[in-house]
Amino acid sequence: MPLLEVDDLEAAFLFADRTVRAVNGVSFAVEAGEIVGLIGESGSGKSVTVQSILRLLPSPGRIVRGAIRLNGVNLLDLSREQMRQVRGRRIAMVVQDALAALNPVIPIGEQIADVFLAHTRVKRQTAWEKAVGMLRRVGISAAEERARHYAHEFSGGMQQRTVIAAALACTPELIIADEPTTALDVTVQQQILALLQQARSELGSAILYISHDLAVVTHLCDRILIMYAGEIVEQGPTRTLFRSPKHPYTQGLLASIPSLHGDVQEYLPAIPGLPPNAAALPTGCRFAARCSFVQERCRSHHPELVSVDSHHAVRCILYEATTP
Amino acid sequence: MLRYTLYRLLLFVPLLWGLSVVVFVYIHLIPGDPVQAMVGSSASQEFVAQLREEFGLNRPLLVQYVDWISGLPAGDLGITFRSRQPIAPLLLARIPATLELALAGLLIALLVGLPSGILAGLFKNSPFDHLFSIVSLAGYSMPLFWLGTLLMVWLGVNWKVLPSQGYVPFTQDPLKNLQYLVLPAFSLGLGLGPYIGRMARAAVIEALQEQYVNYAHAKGLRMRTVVNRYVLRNAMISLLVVFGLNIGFLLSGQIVIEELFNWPGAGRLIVRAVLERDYFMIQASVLIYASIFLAINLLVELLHAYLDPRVQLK
Amino acid sequence: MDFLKRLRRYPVALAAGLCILAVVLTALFAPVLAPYDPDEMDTATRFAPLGTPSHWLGTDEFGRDILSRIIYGSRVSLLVAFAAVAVALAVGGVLGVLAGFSGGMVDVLLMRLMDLLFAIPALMVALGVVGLLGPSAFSVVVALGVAYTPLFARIARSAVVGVRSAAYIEAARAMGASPARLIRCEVLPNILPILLVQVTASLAWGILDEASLGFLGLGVQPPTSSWGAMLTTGRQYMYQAPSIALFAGAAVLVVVFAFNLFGDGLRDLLDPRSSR
Repeated sequence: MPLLEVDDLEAAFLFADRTVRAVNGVSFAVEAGEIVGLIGESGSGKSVTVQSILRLLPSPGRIVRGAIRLNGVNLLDLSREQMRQVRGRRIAMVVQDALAALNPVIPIGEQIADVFLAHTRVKRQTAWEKAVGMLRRVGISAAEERARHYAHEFSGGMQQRTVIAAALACTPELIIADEPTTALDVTVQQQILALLQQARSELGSAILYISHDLAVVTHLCDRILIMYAGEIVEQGPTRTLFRSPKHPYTQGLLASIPSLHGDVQEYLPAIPGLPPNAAALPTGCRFAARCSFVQERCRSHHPELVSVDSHHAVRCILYEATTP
Repeated sequence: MLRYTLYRLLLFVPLLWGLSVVVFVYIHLIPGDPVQAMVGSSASQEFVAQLREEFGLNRPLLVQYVDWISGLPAGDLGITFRSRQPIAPLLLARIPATLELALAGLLIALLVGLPSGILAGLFKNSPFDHLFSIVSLAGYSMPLFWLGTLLMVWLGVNWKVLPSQGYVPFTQDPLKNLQYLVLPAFSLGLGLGPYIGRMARAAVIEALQEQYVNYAHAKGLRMRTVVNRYVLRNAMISLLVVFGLNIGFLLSGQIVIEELFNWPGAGRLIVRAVLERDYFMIQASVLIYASIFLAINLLVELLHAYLDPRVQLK
Repeated sequence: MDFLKRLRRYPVALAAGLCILAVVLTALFAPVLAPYDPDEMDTATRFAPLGTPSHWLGTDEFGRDILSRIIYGSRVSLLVAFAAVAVALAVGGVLGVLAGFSGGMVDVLLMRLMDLLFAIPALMVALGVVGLLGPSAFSVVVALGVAYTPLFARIARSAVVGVRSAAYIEAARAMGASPARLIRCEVLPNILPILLVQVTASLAWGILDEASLGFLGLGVQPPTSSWGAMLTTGRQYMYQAPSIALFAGAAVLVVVFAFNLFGDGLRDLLDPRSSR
């Protein structure tokens, strides 16, 4: 049984005048201790997927269909209080904008201590000491002193470390990292990624890593899911995906990564066009308008996700024919 | 914190000085001659000249200003034009009544406005919120003196439950003092309550949209913790700032309510000075009112710095 | 018109707008609508009670018809409020644009002055101005106009500063567009929504503040009928004729409420991201 199983998830924003279908029939699994990358452009539905898993969709977002199972238990069936106990303790979150995620008027240490107080029966003093310990563990020096500081007194990297400390506090089974390095310098990025890898090796936590950037996740992730316009268009082990990308979108993404080893290219090809409007999705393949291999049938036929290899699946008409 | 406080207090001195210049210049903006304006155009030239001499208005402006300002630190605000009484004791005698009404009114306004506004903000778009929005907007649109008149007529005149006009000093008869206080204080409080309620609602909604609130939920914190420590703590700080900026509405309301209930406060003194066109009195009371206003603002700023760790850096 | 179509989705605002329209029409056609001359005294029918067939809302201490006086009072209220807001809009707009375009010391000085003025409550500013000029409708317009100026100056300045830094303005300037043209073509369309909301809110304040000043005896002087002044006399004759104060206050409440509702609706309509 996988640790996390997202099954045919459909999430939408029901505005008064239109419905935005942000996530359409997404299914995937994360095994215990595995690091999975969820890659997509902004607006591809990756963040909505994450918010659905935590049941924290902002209004008027709704989970229309599907199941989200943690160790076989459907999170959508849990009561509010039960769900609260899942968040932060079994599934923890690391966010992109750490400064905005930290309460500006409460000392850093207290914000980590709050996690212990919410999920364990400890006294305030004990929670504080544990919080200081967490800060030390994520590499913040003079932690006792720093714990009394406020978010704005921290550097960007230290803010992100703080958020990771809060996430690791209750040794979660799954950490969802939503573009945790996007706002940081390259050197700090590497430190944060190392910290996440350390969490996996020491705590055994699985990680669902969300990013718009394939390059960042290559060394981190065991497996990669590519999302486009609310659907998974390709998924497979990192290595396989890099060696033989199948979906034209994935190929485009890979081609736009600057290569450090290969010949110096004159320019990096970008994928032309924009993703479709989620309030008015096309009936056929959603990538058709931007695809260089587009055929007549792509405009009317919506392809299924089909396996091309063990663990490697793709949603494209080019590969549909090969399976019976 | 101590350094910041001292710094702000030091800044307050030049601010007060600037205020005195503004007030002085303002009074001398009067078209023509202040004395002429005060006694009317029918007065004889000799009489006007005599008055100018008496009040030292024929001296150069700078001399007049220095004369005026040098008396201020000692509490000398000059004398009134009509009765030739020293102004400072007159104003001072009004302070207890004004303060009592202002504090009581503010307390009632906070008791009415804060809980309802916070609830409406937390349960945005709920039936309670819709009710709150309509009622508070109506209260906010209601002339303060009209609300006071209604209360006065219903409770004071028709039911004869409470005295509706006048004032008894607390030191003279505490019980009577409170009886007289009830109607004016409720008029002021119920009039300002919707104002505070709407500010509180907006502050709560703003805080709810912050990412740290969302992240607090993602950390699995209990609802009570999220609301108290993450939403309200931040909302109350921004409410304090907005409140400081809008403190003037309290002072304005106070003047009207004092007039309506014959409450012997400083506000009535100013209105009378304006009606009698007693420029010396206007000059002094505008200075005092504006100083009080600035002092309250300073207090709010210090409180803000104390509550919000981000402030002192700036 | 697109605007009217969207307004239909906000029935409350629409109703408030119609109410405002009705009040404006009442003020315009006061001579036709009022059953009596508002200043016509009749000592035989002093303090006629509510529901008297010839005087629905009764009469005041001079036997004047209260309904007629309230109808005529709308003229003073609206006129003063509109004029005050117009003054504030014009003066504040010019100062704000000036500050925004010139930048530097001019900007700092002007906006500090506006901050100072903004810090003083409108009624205090008004007391000061009326103290200088003596009580009259003109003084009230000047007083409230001065008091509301900082609001508009701030809006205008921030809009100019925002647009000025935009790249396409640099381009337009480089091509020789005059500041006047920039304001007309780039700044104005941008701030029109905020301006409209602010104007509506200020009108509500204007009517309230005019009534407050009238109540304090510092507004329009008798015998001209104004709602504020009616409240003052109404208070003196609370026992004999409660309807004077009651209906004058109700008139203020209804009109101000309508303006506030309309302003709220307008804000939602023009800015979908607003807090409501």
